[in-house]
Formats: sequence, structure tokens, C-alpha cells
Amino acid sequence: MEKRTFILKLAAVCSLIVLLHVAMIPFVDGTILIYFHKCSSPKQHSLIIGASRASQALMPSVFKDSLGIDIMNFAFNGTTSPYSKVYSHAINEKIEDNSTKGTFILCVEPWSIGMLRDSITGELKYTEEKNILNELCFFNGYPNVEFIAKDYDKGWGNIAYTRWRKNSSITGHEDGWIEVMREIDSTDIAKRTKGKADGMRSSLPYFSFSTERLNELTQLIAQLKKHGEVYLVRLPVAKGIFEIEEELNPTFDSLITTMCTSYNAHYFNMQPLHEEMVFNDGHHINRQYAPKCSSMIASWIKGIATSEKK
Amino acid sequence: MSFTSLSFIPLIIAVMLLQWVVLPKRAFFQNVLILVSSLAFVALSDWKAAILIALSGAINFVLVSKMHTLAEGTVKKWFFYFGCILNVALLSYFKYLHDLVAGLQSLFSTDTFNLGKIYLPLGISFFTFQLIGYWIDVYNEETEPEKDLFVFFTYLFYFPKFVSGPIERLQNFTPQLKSARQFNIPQVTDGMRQFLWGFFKKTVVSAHCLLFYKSLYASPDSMSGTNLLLAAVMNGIYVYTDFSGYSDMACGISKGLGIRITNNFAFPFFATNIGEFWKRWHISLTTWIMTYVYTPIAFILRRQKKMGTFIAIFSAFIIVGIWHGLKSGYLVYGCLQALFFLPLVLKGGNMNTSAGSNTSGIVSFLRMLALFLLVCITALFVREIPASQTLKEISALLTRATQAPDLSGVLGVTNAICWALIASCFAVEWINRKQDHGLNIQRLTAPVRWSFYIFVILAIFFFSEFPGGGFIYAQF
Amino acid sequence: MERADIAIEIGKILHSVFKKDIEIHDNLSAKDVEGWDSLTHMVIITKIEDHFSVKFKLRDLNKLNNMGNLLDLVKAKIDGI
Repeated sequence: MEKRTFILKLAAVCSLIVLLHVAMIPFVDGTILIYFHKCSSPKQHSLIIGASRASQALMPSVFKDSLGIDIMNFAFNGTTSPYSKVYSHAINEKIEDNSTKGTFILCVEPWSIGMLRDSITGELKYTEEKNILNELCFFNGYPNVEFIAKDYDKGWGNIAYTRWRKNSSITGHEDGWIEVMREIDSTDIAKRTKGKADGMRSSLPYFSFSTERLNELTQLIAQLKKHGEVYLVRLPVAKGIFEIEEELNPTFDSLITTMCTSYNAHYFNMQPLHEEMVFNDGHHINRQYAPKCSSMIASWIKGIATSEKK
Repeated sequence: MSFTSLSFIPLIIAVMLLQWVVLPKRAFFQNVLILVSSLAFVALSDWKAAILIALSGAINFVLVSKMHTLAEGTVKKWFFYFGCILNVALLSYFKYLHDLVAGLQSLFSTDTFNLGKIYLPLGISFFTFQLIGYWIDVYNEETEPEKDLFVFFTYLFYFPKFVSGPIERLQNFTPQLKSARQFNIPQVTDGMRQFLWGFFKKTVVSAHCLLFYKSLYASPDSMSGTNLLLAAVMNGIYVYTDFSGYSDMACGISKGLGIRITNNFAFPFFATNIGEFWKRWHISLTTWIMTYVYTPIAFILRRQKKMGTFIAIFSAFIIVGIWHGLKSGYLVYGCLQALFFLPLVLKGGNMNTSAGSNTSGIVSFLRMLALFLLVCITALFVREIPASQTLKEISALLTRATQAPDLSGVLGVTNAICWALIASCFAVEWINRKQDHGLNIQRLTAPVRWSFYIFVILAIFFFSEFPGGGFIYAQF
Repeated sequence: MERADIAIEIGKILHSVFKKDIEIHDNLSAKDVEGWDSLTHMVIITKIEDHFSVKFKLRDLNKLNNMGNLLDLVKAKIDGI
């Protein structure tokens, strides 16, 4: 075979393979990659920040209706987005450079300012370093092909097949809200809650409060204050889970309160309202109660804004 | 970095373009390119290993050259022992010390020493065995010591073989670096085929087998014998397709660079006896063991006839087990493999019949199947699970043989796809069983060849999985 | 002993091991004979040692690539080199 023919054939095959992949891009949505829209939107002036509780409990559409603001839910999960350099970098990339009138709702919990240690070596585990936010160079713009390439862990042909099957139980909406299709079933909830609590309890010996993470949160608040108002929220959890969190960090509340005072941020501890919520597993609010939770926070923010105007 | 990771693609494209399009076709430039890209590959994967190997390589290079200058005698012999012990000590420290201490503590029911986790450099078993083989070959005057440190480092760091082998003898590799490689279209095309086949086995077949195995293995204490056997089969195929997939990719990349390295697999599941199997499975390791362990011991004990042969085989397979690690499972695995040879030794039959022997006929098929099942069951020992646990599972396999199988974990669309992928993988390899790799289809007509390519590419496009975790043999 | 005679004797030894006639020539190697593997190799070596009353070293054997090398080695041993 001539060298020229070989190169032409190779180029043709490679082009076809690339085209096949490109053809799949329009099929990618929040059912294929639940965090896709978070990293494919334009830059934002307002963000919801935190881990999986925040990603499921806070609905941007409620804040839009109630406060008239366009806000994106940029919360991920406990291993991807604990308060850390990695997460702060992603948040900074997400914010419009010159915006000053934004609204930032930061969900805080003892786990997000805690650190896991390896059970054998005691080495600190920076879980965020092995997750998607640490691998991305680009966090904005549709379609974020880099995100698909780095986050999708199957052959891309499976994208079309998954869309066709339409049986995803989790959807990442365009505004970043993560909707978990779980119905309210008390037996199922009790089982999951117990499982979650057992898991948390067994990890307690290896989890501790981290001044490093707290410093990252503090610096993040200071940075976000340049772009708007900062509101910290402790989302409610089931009683059993709360008891475990109190064991992990009994001074959490006072720590956050003190920090907010220093940085002129606002803090809403929603734990007293836990009985008004239904949780899938003791700490993730069921999607049917996400509007209520979001509404409560929106009302609180409105109340602060009103009293500050006075 | 692994061959199936996204970051590997630009690296390999850049290397190929540089080698065949940009750089002058001279050995010097080609070797510089290979060394630099190999160092980059290793450093990006594990920079500490890169430094360790560079130091170890330099020390070994100097010491072997020095040994070669010594006159035959006691001094040279002890120098040689020192060199081998040095490398064994390095390997032992990183790979075996933790397990040895843990094992001794368990034996004496104490936990006085807690070593914690000891860092395991990437590729340590492979490069140590290469170095030990180098010492032995130079001492036995089978090869001259390499005079060019640059060439020596290229041999040690050569990225296609770095992570999971093959264990290449220096004298088989370095002569290829002494002259410029020419762009050879059939070789490069064949390399691409082999890489594609390896990629398919790793990302499609191996990944699905692993998922299937994990789903079956959810509750090992209550599984039926059939389900346990199925799990063993899935594990066996997973290990084979993962490791041979890697090996095919390594060979394919090398062919693309104009370099030949040892094919580590020759369709081992088509073997009809244990001897033939070990001539087809992890070939570079078994060749190393045969050359440096079995042959010397068998030679020393040649007057002891069958007993001597068996001791040599036993020693060889204990080393095979230990090569994987010092855990009980690996040692049991080694012992079992040696025991499987006992009938052959007693019969006075051949330890390994030549690859490609007649495998047609129902009897051959049944032998193949029996051997396949035996291999899969014993492969259960090569897991991060104590041997006692594996023994329990294997005995449960027999005691629960009549228990009704749980088909919910066996049937279903996902598993049907897995079965189809396994069947197609073995079908293709059977068709090409007389070739050096599963997709060596040069002899077939163009339409048939392109049908194969389309099938494999589409299978990868639709069914590949990248769950992370790299290649199974990278942990060794 | 002449090389050709050694070749004839070795031919007889191979016959006793493989139960068939094997043509001895310098380029013959283990790969060319079905069943000549590591196990049978030791049997053959032992029989050659006994037959010619010589003793090999491992190092000598490692350098054997074909029958020609083996014939030269045996002759050297017989001649006391």
C-alpha cells in the first residue's frame, strides 16, 4: 500500500470516528450526566453552593419567582465539592467577572468543613482532587465537550441509547437543580436513613473538623462578598443524622455564626425546621419538599433584604 | 496515565507524528524521542517511580559493567550475588515487607509493628525482574553489558512495556535501537489492529465481565454453586481480557514505533493441558521463570529425575505466586499450578506442547473447557482476598452445586450484552488462533477485514466502559 | 571421537526419548522437534552426559542455540577442552 493511500484511509477512519462522537453531543443532557448543565451554562452572577444536600434541596426556579433573581445551583456532592481550593477555583471561574449584585447561598454542614483520613495511614484524603472539578479547564459554555470527555465513563454511543431508553432516575436540570425521582415510601426511607446513619457513624473515627477547609470557606466568603451578598444555610436533616453531626462537630453552629459576623454574611440554621421536611435517606430532602425548603430560604433572604433597606 | 485514558491519545499521536513525519529517520533522534516520551509517561503516571528507576538503573548499569570486567572466580561470583540481592531487596522492601510483617504478626497474633502503607512504585516487579535477568545474562556471558547508558535507560523506561510488561530481555530489545526504524506500512497497520483489539478487550469485554462479576458477587455467602462458578468464570475472563488487552495495546504501539516486543499471550484458553496453558499465558514471565528458576534447579537436580523435575516446577511456580505478592492467595495459587503439573511429570509427558497444536474435535473441546474452568477457579486466589476465604468459596461451589441458581443476576439485557461480547471476543480469537494476535486479519479480503474493523469500532463506541482503576496487572 | 560419530550417537539418544528418528543437522533446534521442551531437554542432557561420560555446566547449556552448538560442546568436552 502506498504511504499516501495509507494516510488517506487512516484520516478517513479517524474523521468518521470523530464525527460519530460529535453527533452524540446534542444528546447529552442532565439525564446522561447530572452535572452537565452546571458546567455548560454561561457565567453566572448568582450561585447556590454546597454538596449534595444543596444540589437536591434548592430549586433556582423558586428563587427566581420569589426574589426575581437568576441563580444557578452549582452544588455537587461531598467528595466533589467540599470547601476546598478546587471548589473555590471552579466557583470563581463560574462567576461573571464584574458582577457585584449577585446572591450566593452557601450550604454548610460539618462534613463540608471536615476531612477524611485514611484508615491505615492516617493520610488526609483530598477527595476533590480525584474528581471532575479538579480535571476541568473549562466550566462555562454549551456544549462543554471537555466535561463530557472527562466525566462520561462509557463509549459515547451509549449516550444515544440512554436517551432513547429514557429511564434515568436522576435528572440534572438546566438551572443545576438535581431531581432524584424517589417517591415517599416510609419503609424505604427508614431503611435508607438507617443505612446512611450507620455509614456516617462508622466513618466518624476517620473524619474530623478541618481548619484548612474552614479557611477555604472563609476565603470563599470574602471573595464572594466582592460580587454580592452571601447567605449561609445549614439545611435540616433527620434527628438521628443531626446527632451524629453534633458528635462530629459540636461547635459547628457557633463557628459559623462567628464567621458570618466577621464577614457580614448571614446565617440561617434550618435544623429546627427538620420536622417540616421529608428526607429520602435522613439528609437529602425529597424532591417534593424542595420547593418548600427553597421557599423558606427565599423568604428569609427577602426578610433580610427588607430589614436592611429599613 | 493509562493507554485507555483521554490524556494518552494526544501523547501517542504526537509521538507517532514526530517519529514518522517530523524527525529525521536516524536512530539517534528516534531513540531520544522514545526516551523522552517514556520519561514523560512514567513521570506523569508516578514521578517517584521515575526517580527510583533512574537511580536503580544507573547503579545497576555501573555495577554490571564492573562485574563484567572481573576475572572468573569467587570475587566475580559474590559480586554477582550482591547485584541480584540488591535488586531483590529493593523489590522486597516496596512490595513484600508490608505483607511479610502483617503475615508474621497474624501468625504470632501480635500487632507490635504497624508499618502503615508502603508506597509501591509503578512497574516495580517488571523492571526488577528485567534487571535481575540482565545481571544473570551478563554473568553467564549470554550477552555483553550495555555500554550506552542512554540506550539502557530507553530499555528500562520504554513506556509501552513499563506498567505491566512484557518482561523483556535486554538483548532482545536494544539491538532494535541501534539502527533507524523504517516506516513499514504493513507493520504499522498490524500494530493499529492489535492496539484496537487490545482496546476492545480492555474497555469492552473486561469492563463488562468485571461489572457482571461484581453483580454476581454481591453476597458470596449465600450464592448457589452455579452462581459461584459463573462468578469465577467472569473473574477469569476479566483477568484475561484486561491483561491481554493491555499486552495487545503495548505490542500494537510498539509496532507503530517500529519496535517488536514479546507478545504476552497466545490464546491461553484454547490450551488443552496445563503445560500448553503456561506456554500461552503471561509468556514473558513464564519464560523468565523457566530460564532463571526452573532450568537451573532442574539442571542441578537432573539426576533426581522426576523428583528433581517436580521440585524445579514447584520452585518455579512458587516464584510465580510470589511475583504477584506475599499474600496467602498468591502462594496457594502458585502451589496449585505446580500440583497441576504433577500428572504430566509422573507420566513423563511434555511440560509444554507447542502452541497451535491440534485443538479440533469434541475431546479437545471438552479438555479446553475443563482446563478453562480449572484456570478460572484457581484464578480466584489471585484477588485481594485471603486464601481461606477463597477456599471457603470454592468448597461452597461444590457443596452448593445442587442449589437452585439465582438467575436474576444472570439474565437481563445488560448481561445478555456481556455474553454476546464474550462470545464474539472468543470467536474472533478462535478464527485467528494461528496468528500472533486476535485481530491479525491481513490474510483476509478487504470487505471481511473492514467488517471486523467496523464491528470492533462500533462495539467500543457503544459498549466501552472506563470505570477507572487502570489495568489489573499494574498493581504488581 | 569425530563430530559425525557424536551426531550418530546423539541421534540414537533422541530416538530413545522421542520414539522416532530425528535427522541430525547443525541447524536443528528444539523448536523443530515436537515435544522437545524444558522437561525433555533435561532428560536428553542427562542421557548425553551418561553416554559420553562428560559433565556439562549450566553456562554451557545456556549458550546452546542449535544442534551444531551441542555437537561442538560435546566434542570439546570429550577432547577435554
